Amino acid sequence: MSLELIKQIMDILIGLILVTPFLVIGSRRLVFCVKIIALQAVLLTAVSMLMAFYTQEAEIYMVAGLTFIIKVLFIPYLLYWVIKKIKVKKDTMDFIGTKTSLILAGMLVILSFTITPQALSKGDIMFGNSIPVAISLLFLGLFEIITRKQALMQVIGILMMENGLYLVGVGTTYGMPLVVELGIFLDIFVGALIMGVLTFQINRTFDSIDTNQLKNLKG
Amino acid sequence: MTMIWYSTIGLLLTGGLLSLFFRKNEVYSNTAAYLCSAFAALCSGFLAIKILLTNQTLIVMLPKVLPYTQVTMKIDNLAGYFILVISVLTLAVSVYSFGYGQEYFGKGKIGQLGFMFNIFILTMLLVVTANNILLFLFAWELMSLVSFLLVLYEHEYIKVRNAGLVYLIMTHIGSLFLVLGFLIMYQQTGSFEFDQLAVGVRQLSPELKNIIFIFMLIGFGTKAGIVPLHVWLPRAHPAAPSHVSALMSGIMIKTALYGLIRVLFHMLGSGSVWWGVLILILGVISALLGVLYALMEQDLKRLLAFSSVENIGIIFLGLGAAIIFKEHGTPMLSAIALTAGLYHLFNHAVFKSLLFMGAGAVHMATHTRKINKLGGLIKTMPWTALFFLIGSASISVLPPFNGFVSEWLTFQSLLALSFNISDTTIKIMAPVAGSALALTGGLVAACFIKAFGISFLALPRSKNAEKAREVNLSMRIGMGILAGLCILMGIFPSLIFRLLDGVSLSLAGAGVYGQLNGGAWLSVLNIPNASGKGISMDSLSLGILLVLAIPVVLLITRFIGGRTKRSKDETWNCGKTLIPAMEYTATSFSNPIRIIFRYIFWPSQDIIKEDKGSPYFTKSIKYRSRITPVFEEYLYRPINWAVIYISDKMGSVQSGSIHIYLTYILATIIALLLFAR
Repeated sequence: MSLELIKQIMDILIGLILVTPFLVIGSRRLVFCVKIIALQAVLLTAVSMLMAFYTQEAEIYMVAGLTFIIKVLFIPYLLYWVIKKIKVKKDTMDFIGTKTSLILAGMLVILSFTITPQALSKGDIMFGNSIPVAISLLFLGLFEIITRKQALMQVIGILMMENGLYLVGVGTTYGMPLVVELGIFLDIFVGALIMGVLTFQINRTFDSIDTNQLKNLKG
Repeated sequence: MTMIWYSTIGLLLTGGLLSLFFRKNEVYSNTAAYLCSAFAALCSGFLAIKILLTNQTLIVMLPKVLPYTQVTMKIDNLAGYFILVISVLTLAVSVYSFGYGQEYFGKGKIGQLGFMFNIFILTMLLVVTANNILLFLFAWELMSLVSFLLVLYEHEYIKVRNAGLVYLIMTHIGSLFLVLGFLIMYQQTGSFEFDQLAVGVRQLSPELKNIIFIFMLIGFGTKAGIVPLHVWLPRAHPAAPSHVSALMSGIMIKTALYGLIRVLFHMLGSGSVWWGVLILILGVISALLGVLYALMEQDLKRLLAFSSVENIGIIFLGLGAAIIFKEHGTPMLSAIALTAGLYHLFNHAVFKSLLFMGAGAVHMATHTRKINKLGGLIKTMPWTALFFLIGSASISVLPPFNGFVSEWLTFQSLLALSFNISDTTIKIMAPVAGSALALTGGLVAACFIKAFGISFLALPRSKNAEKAREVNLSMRIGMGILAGLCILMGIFPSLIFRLLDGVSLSLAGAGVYGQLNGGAWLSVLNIPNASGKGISMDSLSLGILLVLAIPVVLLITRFIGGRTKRSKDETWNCGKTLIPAMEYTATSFSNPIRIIFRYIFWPSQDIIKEDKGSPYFTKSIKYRSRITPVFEEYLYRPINWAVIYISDKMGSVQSGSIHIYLTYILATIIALLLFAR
């Protein structure tokens, strides 16, 4: 495979990744959102595989494998389990309407594309497009957390932010050292577990997973 | 000597921990705490005297715990002098506390009291020995927090909690300025070590030095309690248990003076004359207002706290004069003025602790601190009365007690200021400051005649005062130690001059001990004027004269007034048995002064009359008079109001909603990224 071809495939994959957050923001169905997050993880795995193929390093293959196991299989399954347990299908109440959210999200993507060239030193970066997309993922994940009231959607938001960080790592350094990646995976693994359980507990305590009700905890 | 120092620290830590360990058994806990602190005081006192007499400097390197900094403690002459003062007080207060601790038995908090007491002393020792900005600020903050907890010891009372809050806020305002000042010095010199810092700071521009001076003055002034930063003092000191207030008033507020002297003399070196002038003016204001407010107090411990403000003012006078002399290049006079200030510092530590312990004894015996509820205690508590009288005489500058020596020296320095300095402004200002000091002395005498006379003489004014019993032996010994020191330091001032010789030599550039020419171990320093003449005084002969004067005065009054007769008879027959209601009260005693200084006090009275249905038959008359606390009303209240207003407005930022907080984060990130473009 030529370098040019790898670059083109990479661009397509990254473009697809950029589409996924919009699907999450535009959707109200929790199960759909979980599926999208899984799809995002599949795309990330593909990016890693491509990178591994390009650099021919065994470590990155392992990272790709781990990504698939944890982000594609385990976490979506966990979230799916939580949704089934708490019997909430739809995230009905939002602070901002869907249309407005989509417009704001679009503006955030534009913002991340405008600031990226300055934020990074203009070094020799193979897959330049991955950086602004990764930052978009960070912004949109945070945006998701801010605008959605349901705890589960916030878990999805934070997963999206984590995926953005992963993409930064892949795009700038051809994959971080395996030890670092392992640490991050453990982090996200435990994080998702705790957040899943916490969501469950919030539901038990408040009879809802509307995080706006956490205001009542303030003295 | 390092071993002695480590054993001091070790003893204090052991005392604190043992006290906590035995907290179930109050007697053990009490004994362990104060036994350890007493022995620690002996150790550190021995060390301090050795250092002061041999002019050595002890440097203790702590094991390296923080990266980039080596934490060292350095005990030089100045630190040694302060350690000596701390040790003397700690010893006396510890002995006193064996008995006084029993007052707090049965409330289940003896362990904490002993623990915090030991830690408090340890932190004060650390403050005066720290040779590094970080250690100094750490010890300083720890000292403030531990004393805050000690103030809050009886936190079940709302008044105590309020006092603690005021103290906490004021002390942190002070700390803020200290941190700023020290950080400026660090930024300019790049070193945390005091010694290296001092080398760099001396080269700084005058403007920068002025800024550092102002920050340090505010920072240390808050802790010292100079007017108008004194508001916490009369609240916090009475709220703490008496043996703690003895230490707080006796030595904790003096650590601020240590810091000020350390920074002004060691680090900044020379500055401007106006520093001295400013300190002098602050001293005058603090001394006068302190004693005036003390005179108006009816609460024994509040009165003593206000009197601390006054004495800090007097120490400031000496300090200010020392700086002015130093700037004018007269090291000998500077040394004498500094000695006056430091001597008074020791004296005040001794007699103020004595008086606080006396107030504690009175409180323990009568369960009241209101002077108007006391009376006649001299018959039931003769020892306490004697010690309180010695303390009162010392603070009222009567020879042969110690207060006389240091104030005489301060007077001399102020007068020398106008004779030896050519600057006209100072020539005029110095005698004014001197006369203010004289007025202060007179008012202090009035204040303590009131405190002693109304509390201890005449007839008991309440049931509590009638039932008072003399306090236990350990408390009497504790007070006795300090009372003895009051006399010793008054009669043999040369002892202290010997100890202060090295301090003044290193700070002001001249030793004072040499000024005492042979055999003059009784006399106070002789300060020569421009033509080389001067007068010296010794307090013993003055004291003897004063004692001799008593029978003379008695004879004269008897001669003029004739024999007094006492007749007892029915009402309307011009003779009646004396009852407590006829006595002069503390309020009426201070009333003339309240009227004379009404422009300062802004007094207001109201008389509430209650009658039995007809205005001709009065059931009761209530007379209430109060003074306006000017600083609280017109300085702190507006600030307070503004702070609360702004906080209220800012409170809406804190909505408690996660989403809003996250929005803040997002907005900040975007703003920062745009800013970084």
